Amino acid sequence: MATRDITAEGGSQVRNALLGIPAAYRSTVDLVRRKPLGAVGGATALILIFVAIASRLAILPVPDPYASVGDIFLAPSPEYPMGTDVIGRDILSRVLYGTWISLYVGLGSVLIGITAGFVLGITSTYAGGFVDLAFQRVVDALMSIPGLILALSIMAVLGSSLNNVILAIVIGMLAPVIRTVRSQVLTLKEMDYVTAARAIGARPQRIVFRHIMPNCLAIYIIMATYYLGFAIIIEASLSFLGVGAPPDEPSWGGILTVASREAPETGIWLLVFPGIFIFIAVLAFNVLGDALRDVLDPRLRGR
Amino acid sequence: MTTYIVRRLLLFIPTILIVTIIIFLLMWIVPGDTAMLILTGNDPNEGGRVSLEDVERLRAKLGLDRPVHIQYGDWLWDMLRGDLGESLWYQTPVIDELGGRFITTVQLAVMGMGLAFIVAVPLGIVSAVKQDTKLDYMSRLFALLGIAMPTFLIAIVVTYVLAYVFDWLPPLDYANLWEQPLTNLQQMIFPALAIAFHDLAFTARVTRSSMLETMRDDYVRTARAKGLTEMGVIGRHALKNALLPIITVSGYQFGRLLGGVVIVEVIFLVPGIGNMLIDAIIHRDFVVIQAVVVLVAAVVMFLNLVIDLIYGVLDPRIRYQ
Repeated sequence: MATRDITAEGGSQVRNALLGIPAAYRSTVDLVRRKPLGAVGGATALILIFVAIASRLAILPVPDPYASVGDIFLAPSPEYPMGTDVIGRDILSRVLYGTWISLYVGLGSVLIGITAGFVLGITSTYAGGFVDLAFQRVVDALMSIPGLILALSIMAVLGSSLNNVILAIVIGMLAPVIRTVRSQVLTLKEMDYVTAARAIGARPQRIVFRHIMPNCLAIYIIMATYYLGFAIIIEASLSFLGVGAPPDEPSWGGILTVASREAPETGIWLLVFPGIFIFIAVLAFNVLGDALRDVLDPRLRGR
Repeated sequence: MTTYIVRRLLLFIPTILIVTIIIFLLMWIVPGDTAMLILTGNDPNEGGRVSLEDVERLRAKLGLDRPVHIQYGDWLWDMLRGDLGESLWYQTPVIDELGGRFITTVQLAVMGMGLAFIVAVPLGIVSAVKQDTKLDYMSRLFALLGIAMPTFLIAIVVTYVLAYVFDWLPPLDYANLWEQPLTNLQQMIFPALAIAFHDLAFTARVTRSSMLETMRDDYVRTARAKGLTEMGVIGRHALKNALLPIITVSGYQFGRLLGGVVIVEVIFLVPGIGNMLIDAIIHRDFVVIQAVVVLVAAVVMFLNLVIDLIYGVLDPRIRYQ
């Protein structure tokens, strides 16, 4: 009953997303109605993206995030709503600019990582035989190194810069993404319509592009949303440890490095604001991911 | 069963070899040259003051002038004999430092996981049994908040609260577990709590979905039909079967947990391998980084192997896949 409806709607939503604005509008309304919490997550994500772009273009009415503007360690006041940091920079503008850094790294690594994971996962599964077996051992090997530890070691080799952080996160997330894609492709390969396509003589390329990939779209969107939260956490963790974004870049994790040392003496506001931003950003993408999973892939409901 | 064990072990050996190759190559592609890095003390401006002969001599001493496959073979052979090389920064054998620190890290990870389990499993069960009630929503919300809190953020908040409210600062000197067990446990409980919080959220989610699945199974319905009390049905039939996937998934998550442990060790100044790793990364001490990462990967893989074998014993269906 209900399950069947959702399946039909889920399928049509994926198609709608590809068709253009009116369809996108319909499915947005649908998401708001059925998954209010997920919609709040989505709205928050949009606000964060807006803040990120606005602070990158420097059109927000805040001081320069890189310049000292006042005394050090000022408590929040109307002039500096979040106070100032260890060399007198405005924390509000740093935290807002940090949104750009988090989302740049997050979206960058997710787009590259998930796309690469899909290409490698589908290719390996379709190559089959020894290639697949050998490649899966490499994936096993990568899986056994915890994501954060792998990213840390890569940063040790490459040195701190935002693009290196993206590369480190991509390598850190590649193995689990390939695993998920592989199991999805293996399931799809056994579907009746794929067998039917093969029976009428469709070449493997046609099956991959016409039948497998469109059916992977839902899982692509879901994984991208989840891994965005993961990427934001890893970026913040790396920067917190001093090997992520370069030290003067206003990354949320980097702001917390100094804050965690000084807060017991100077006051908790140093911690609160960047902490809340990390928390809200990760929460927003997780909640959105949960809702998208329920709507787009009903088989995974309640998991 | 024997075939299953043999097959699983045969997969284990090439995989661990690939891990060592990946880690070795990762450190081998260092931009610039390790010998140069050591001589310049990581400072690019020092480059001009180093003579080419010095670099060549150090390269020969470290064996960096040999072909890469020979370097890898030697490194692997030394590791198998228990020689993890000498720290580039401290000039001491890595193995001396690693042993004690490793035990500390494992203790912290196990304590964190144990604490998470104690809270998460009952929480997940209640959530599943009372599905779609207020209680369920609250525990799911709690789990969601835990997942969105990175471990380092929790650790910072915990240290802040401890310092500000209880006047407790992370000890500069951790007591040894074997010599002063009580002091050691007192010191380790806070970092373990910080680790537990993130893991708890995850375990509660897995418990809930695993319980929901078993609660729908036929034998649960049969147990109810026999007239067992609801407690009897949940405890004796549903939970017993639901626990297996919970333990398995948690075991596979041990690696992720270790990632969190690294950060918590730094924040709480725990002398484990996480602190050692970060210190090595800051000094670009590649010998130490290689040793720590190989150790972590080996532990994770070994644990996965053990879980798979136990699972094979407990659930015969797995063996025939």
